[in-house]
Amino acid sequence: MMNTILIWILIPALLSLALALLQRFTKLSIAVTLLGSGFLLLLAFLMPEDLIIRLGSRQFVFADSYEVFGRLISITKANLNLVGGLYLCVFIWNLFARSLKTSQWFNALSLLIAALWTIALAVQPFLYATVIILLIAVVSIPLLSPRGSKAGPGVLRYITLQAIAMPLVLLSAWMLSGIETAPSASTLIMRAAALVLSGFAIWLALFPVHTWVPMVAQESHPWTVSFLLVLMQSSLTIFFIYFLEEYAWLRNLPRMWEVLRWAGIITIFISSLLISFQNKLRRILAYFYLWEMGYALLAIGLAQEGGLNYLQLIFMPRILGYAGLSFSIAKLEQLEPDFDGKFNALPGFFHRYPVISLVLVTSLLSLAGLPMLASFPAKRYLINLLPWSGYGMETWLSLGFGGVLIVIFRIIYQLVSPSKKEIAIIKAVSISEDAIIIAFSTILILLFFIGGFFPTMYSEMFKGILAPFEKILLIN
Amino acid sequence: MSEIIVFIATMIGLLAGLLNLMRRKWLINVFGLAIQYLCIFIVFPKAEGISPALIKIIVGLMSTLIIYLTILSSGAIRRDPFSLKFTAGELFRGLSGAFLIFLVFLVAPWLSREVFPQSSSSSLTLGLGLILLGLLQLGAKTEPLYIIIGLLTFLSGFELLYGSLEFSTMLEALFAIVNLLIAIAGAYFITKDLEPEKL
Repeated sequence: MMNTILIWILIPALLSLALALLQRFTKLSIAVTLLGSGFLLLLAFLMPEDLIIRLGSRQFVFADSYEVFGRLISITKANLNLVGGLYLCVFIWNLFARSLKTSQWFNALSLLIAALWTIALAVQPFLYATVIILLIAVVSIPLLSPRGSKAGPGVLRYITLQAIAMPLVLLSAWMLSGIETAPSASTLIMRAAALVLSGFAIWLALFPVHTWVPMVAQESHPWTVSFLLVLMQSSLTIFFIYFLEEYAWLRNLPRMWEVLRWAGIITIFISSLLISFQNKLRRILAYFYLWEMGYALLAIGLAQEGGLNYLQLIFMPRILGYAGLSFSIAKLEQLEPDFDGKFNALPGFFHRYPVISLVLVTSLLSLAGLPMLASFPAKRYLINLLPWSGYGMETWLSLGFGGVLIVIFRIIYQLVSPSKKEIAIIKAVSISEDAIIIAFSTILILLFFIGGFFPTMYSEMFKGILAPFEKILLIN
Repeated sequence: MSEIIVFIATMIGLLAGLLNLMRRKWLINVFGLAIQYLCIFIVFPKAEGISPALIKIIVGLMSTLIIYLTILSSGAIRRDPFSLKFTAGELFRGLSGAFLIFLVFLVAPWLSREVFPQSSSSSLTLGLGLILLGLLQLGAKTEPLYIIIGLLTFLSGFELLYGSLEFSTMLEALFAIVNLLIAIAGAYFITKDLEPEKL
C-alpha cells in the first residue's frame, strides 16, 4: 500500500538530495524538478476523497499517515489542496529559477523546503512544527545568501527571529498541554496566550518585528525571496488557524477575534504607510508581503463572519501577484546591469521593456486589489464582511489602500517618463524581451484578468484548505 | 556530592556563556561553546536515562567541531595574541551579561515555584541564563560567526529548559538536526565571506 507521506514528503526529500548532487547539470536538474513538482501537484489536486486511485481494474490505495519516533505524520485529502498549492509554487518558481540566475541550489532546496512545509502541516502533535519552521529558515540560507555574495544582516536577523519565535510557541503549548477549556481569564491562559501570540507575531513578521522582511528582500534575489515568502505566508496562516482550531482557550479569549481584526488592519495601514515612502523596487515586494499578511490576519479575525473563505480565494491571486512582481524586478535587473533598483532609474523602461513593465504594473495593481484583477474579488469579499465600527476600520483600510496606490502611481509615472539619456529613441518593438518573457508575461496578465472576472475558478482549486477547521467554522 | 557537581557545572556553564558574549577571540569562543555543552550534559535531567543528555553533548560538540575545523582550515581568523586587557565593548557586554546572570538568580526561585515546578533549579538557572546570554549576543554582535555562536547558546539553553519539562524523541531528533544545520550554516557563512564577491 502506498502512503501520502511517502509521496509528498519522502519522494521530494530524496529528489532534493539527488538534485543537490546534480546541481551542476542545469538542464537535467530543472527537468527533474519540474517533472517531480508537476507530478506531485497534479496528484494532490486529482486525488479522490477516499484516497483510492482506480486505473482500469487496478486500484491504488493510499494510507494517509505514518509513524515516526512514536509521533504521527498525517496527510489527508483535506490537507492535499494546500500541499498541492505548495508544489504548484515549486513548479512555477523553478520554471525560471536558473534563467533568472538564482542560487544553483534552488532546484534542490525548493523541493526540500516544500517537503518541510508539508511535514510542518502534517506532524501530530502539530506543535513540533515550530522546530521544523526554524529548520526551514536554516535550510533557506544558501538560497537567500548564495556564494559569491557577503552575508547580509537581513538573513541573520531572519534566522535569529525564527529561532526566538520557536521557544515562545513551544513553551506556551507545554504550559497548557492537555487543557482543552479553562476559565479564559486565568493567569495560566493569559500567560500562554501572550507567549503564543508573541511567537506568531514574530513568525508573521508583524510590526515592529517585520524589519527582516525588507532587509532580506533588499539583499537577496527577488525570485528566491518571493518563493520563500509565498510558501511561508500560505503555510503560516493555515498553521495559525490550526492553533485556533485546536485550542479552545485561545479562540475563547475575550475579544480575541476583535484583536486579530485590528492587528490585520494595523498591519495593512503600517505596511502601506511604509511602502509609500519606498524608492527601491525590491523593498516593494517585502511591503506587499506585509500588506497581504494584514489581509490574512483580518480574514482570520473575521472567521466568525465567514472570513476564512478569503484564504481560499486569495491563494492563487497571491501566487500570481508575487510571481509577476518578482519576475519583472528580477528580469529588469538582469536586462539592465546598471539598474540599481531605485525608482529614479526607471524612466524609459516602459519604452525599452513594455511587456515586463506591463507585468510589473499589473502585478502591483492586482496585489493592491484593483477591480477586474485577480485579488479584487477576495479583498472585496473581506471588506464586505467588516462589522460596523463607526467607520474606524474602514478609515484605516482606506488610508492603507491610499498608501499602496501612491507607490504604484509613482512607479507608473517613472516607468512611462522618457529616459533622460535617450528621449528621442522610442523603439516600437523591444529587442531585449525574448519570446519566453513575452509568452510568460502574456499568460500571467491573462491569469490576472481570469481571476478578476471568474474568481471561482481559482477558489475551487483550494476549497479544501478550510475543511480541517470545523470548530472555527462552527462558530458561525 | 552530585548536587555540588551540578551546581559547579551550572556556574561554569554560565561563565562560559558570559565569556562567549564578552570576548571576540575565536579560539576562546569555540572553547567556551564546548565547555557550555559539557556543563549542559552534567546538568541535563537524567529522568529518561542518560541518552538524551548524551545526544546533547554529542550534537553540541559536533557543532563546535564543525565551526572550529572550518575556521582552522579556512584560515579566516588569524590567531590573535592573548591579552587580558578588555576593550570598552567587551566590558559593556561583560557587565550586561553579569547583570543578566544576577537577574536569573534573582527570578529563578519565583519561576521555579510559579511557572516551571518540574524543572530543577540548576536546569532552570543554566537554561534561562544561556537563553538570555544568547539573546544578548544576538543583539550585540553582527558578524556571522558570533551570531551563530549566539544562536547555539540560545538554543542550548532552551533545550535544557525544555528537556526538564517534557521529553520527546522526535523533538530531540529535530533539535539535533537544527543544531547541526546551524553549525553548518555558520561554516557556510565563514567560507562564503572569504570568497571574492561576484560583480
